Amino acid sequence: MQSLAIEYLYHSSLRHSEKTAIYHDGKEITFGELWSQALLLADVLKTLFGSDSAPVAISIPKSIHAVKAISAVQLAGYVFVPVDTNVPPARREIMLKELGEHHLIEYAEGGFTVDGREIALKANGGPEETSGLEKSLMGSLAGRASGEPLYVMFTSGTTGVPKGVTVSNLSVINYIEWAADTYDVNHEEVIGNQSPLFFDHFIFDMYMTFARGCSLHIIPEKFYRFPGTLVDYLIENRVTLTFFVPSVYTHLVALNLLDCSKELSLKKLLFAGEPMPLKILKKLRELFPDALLTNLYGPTEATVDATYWIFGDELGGLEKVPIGQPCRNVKIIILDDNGRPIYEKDKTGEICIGGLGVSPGYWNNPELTKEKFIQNPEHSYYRDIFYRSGDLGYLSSGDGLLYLVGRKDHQFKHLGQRIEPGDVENALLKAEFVETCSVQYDAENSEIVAFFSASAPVASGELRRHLASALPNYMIPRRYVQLETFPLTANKKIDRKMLWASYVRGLNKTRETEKK
Amino acid sequence: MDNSEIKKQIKEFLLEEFPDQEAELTDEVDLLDNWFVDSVRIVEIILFMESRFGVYLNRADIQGSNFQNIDSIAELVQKHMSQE
Repeated sequence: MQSLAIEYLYHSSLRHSEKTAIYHDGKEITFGELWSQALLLADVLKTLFGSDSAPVAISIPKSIHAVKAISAVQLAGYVFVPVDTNVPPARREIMLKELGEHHLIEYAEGGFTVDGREIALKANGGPEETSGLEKSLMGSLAGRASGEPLYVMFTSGTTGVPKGVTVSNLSVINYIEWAADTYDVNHEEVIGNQSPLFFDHFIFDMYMTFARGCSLHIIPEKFYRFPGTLVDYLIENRVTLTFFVPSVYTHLVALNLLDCSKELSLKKLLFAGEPMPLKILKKLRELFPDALLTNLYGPTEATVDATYWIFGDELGGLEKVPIGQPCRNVKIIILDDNGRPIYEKDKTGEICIGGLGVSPGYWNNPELTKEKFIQNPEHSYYRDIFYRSGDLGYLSSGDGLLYLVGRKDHQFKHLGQRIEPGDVENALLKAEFVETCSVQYDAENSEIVAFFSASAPVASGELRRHLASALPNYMIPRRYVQLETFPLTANKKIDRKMLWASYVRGLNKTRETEKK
Repeated sequence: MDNSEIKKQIKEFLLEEFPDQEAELTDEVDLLDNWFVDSVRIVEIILFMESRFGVYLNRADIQGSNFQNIDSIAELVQKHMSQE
């Protein structure tokens, strides 16, 4: 059995050397070329970093170069950390600081830079040089264990500091093997990518391609802003499998863009990242009667996905969309408010995830790791770590499947991205004129709403400008409501429920006046 | 409905949906930079065009160049209105 996830690329470079592995924006690269170019870059990295084992941040937009850099970092024996290239510099600094000692790879004007310096890659010296590098680099990896970290991925944190989730080679191999078996993926599959590099659907797209010799289309962001062009792309490139967030399918359905479903080669539609609306799911079944439709669920801390469900004949009778059952080597328990397991059906509690997908913890943050990764409360015989997801759910007595009902805290998903209101509130409070604030999510209208108080009237344009220097675009609220005072609970905390209720009442009132 | 009326209604919709933007909303201002930052907003304006003007956009219509500014959106609406 293999130990490291990068071995997938090695095997595909032997088996499918001449086959195109990745297409991106008019360019393409074969498995053989990708492998030999990753070896050359890995060789340079190893010379530069030596035995220094600091993680390597990769700040390159999704592209063939980004995949080369990710592969090279693994080949050289380091941990890779994908970083969002669109975040404001201030936020990027916070993330890199959280990593501690690290290196940074970027790509500009036709070449890689490492820690700010341009590096020269030797021209490919032919098969002999490739095999020499392969021998020496793979040789150095021979002693590495499967449980060692593969990547660190950042996700929004409650205090305004993003947290880095550490994920091991073993967890990724376990996930990919399960997914390849379950979804019957082979080298004929053409995967259409949506996810950016720093979101873990990319782990599925990339390693599945490496593992089964598929072809991966890294579809540029602009195709998602104008979904008409996306459908053309999927048709022209005969994409067979997509792993998108539900909002992408929702938009395609809302604009009737999938009515041409017969022109598409899509056979497998995977979705995860946020709840899939039942109405959209049923519409997808109508449009793709023979395709595989599957809903997946899992936080980054559980390695891409922890549960799944493939929809069959039962779909017509469903009243809600289940998240299904645990993936292979995953165990789910549901805990009550006192941290005790709930065994009764239909009773809601916090979803906790154990098994091979569980992350070893947050990078450089033992306190938070201790809080979120706990011993299985069912026993104390041996170490058996479960991740407390903060998601609320229950096991249904009707069909025996898991259903998600919401959050224990105030975290929300916007366009599939996980956002902590505290992260946005923290950024708002850094504006000197903001006194108090509360950030909430209007799921019905897919918009983030910021409530704030200030000493003088503030135009929302000013707040937006302030936030643009601190947060990535998708985290910036769309609506701003200035208040004189905030409703408070008995403990003098902001009463979020009351605040929201009065906001919704206000919205409804406006709508009624508009109708008149 | 004439071109200036179409533009007026699109403008009203945009001002309602995107209050207090930095740039002044003229017929030529580039909407792709500040206004249509994500796909949710594109879907909203398309659904608005369909319900307000009764036009149905097809796949080829839904691309960046048609949503560049108020002028190009109005042109698209008018093209469809004259066909339908």
